[in-house]
Amino acid sequence: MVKNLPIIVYTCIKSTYRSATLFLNNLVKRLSEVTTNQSDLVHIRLCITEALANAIIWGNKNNTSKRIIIQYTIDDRFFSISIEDEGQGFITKRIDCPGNNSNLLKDSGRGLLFMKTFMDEVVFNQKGNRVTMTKYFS
Amino acid sequence: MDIKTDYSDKTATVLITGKLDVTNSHKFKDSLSKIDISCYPEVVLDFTELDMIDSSGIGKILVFLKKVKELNGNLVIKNPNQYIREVFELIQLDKIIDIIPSS
Repeated sequence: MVKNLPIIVYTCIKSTYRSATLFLNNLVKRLSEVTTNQSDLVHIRLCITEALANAIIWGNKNNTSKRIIIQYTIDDRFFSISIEDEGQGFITKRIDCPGNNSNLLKDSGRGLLFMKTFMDEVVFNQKGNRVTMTKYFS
Repeated sequence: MDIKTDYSDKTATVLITGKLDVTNSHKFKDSLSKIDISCYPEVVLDFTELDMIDSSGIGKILVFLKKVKELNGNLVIKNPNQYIREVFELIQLDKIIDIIPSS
């Protein structure tokens, strides 16, 4: 188990899947040293995957010269992460809930639903280009 | 992620291993597009070895489901783990695709 908590990291990665995957693998490895709760780890991994994909695709428009700014905190009782892209942002209220029957087959909005369901707190900045998610360990 | 497709009688079984997410869902889509539904109208997505699926992977399944139904085929998902089942139930995917749980 990690003893020197909290861990606070501020980093910047290239807006590519390769960079996102490397970052995510390292992060989950660190998290697994703090919590052994598999459900928490799976949910965190899924939600960060969705947030990074949103940043790469919708925020930075697949422009690999852009960056994603990330700040995260690992404490013994919680994990919190902010993911910010260089895009124009979006209005989260406009995203339909895929769980509604009429939206079930739509190709967007599911990632946001996962984040809101599996993380304990999800907050967007006013511009809509930064999401901050917090998970309290079970 | 690894994908292996086996064919027998009228059934195509796609075994997916690892994590299915936005980084590899195009590969998954390509594998599904190679299945000739007229020859193999029963398609089984075997998730026994699948650890995780994200919204991108689910999107590819939904597009494929539409194609299968248009060609009068049938799509089932076999042995999803508890986390994947949880995600399917959340978006009510289990209402439109037959899920065969672990035995």
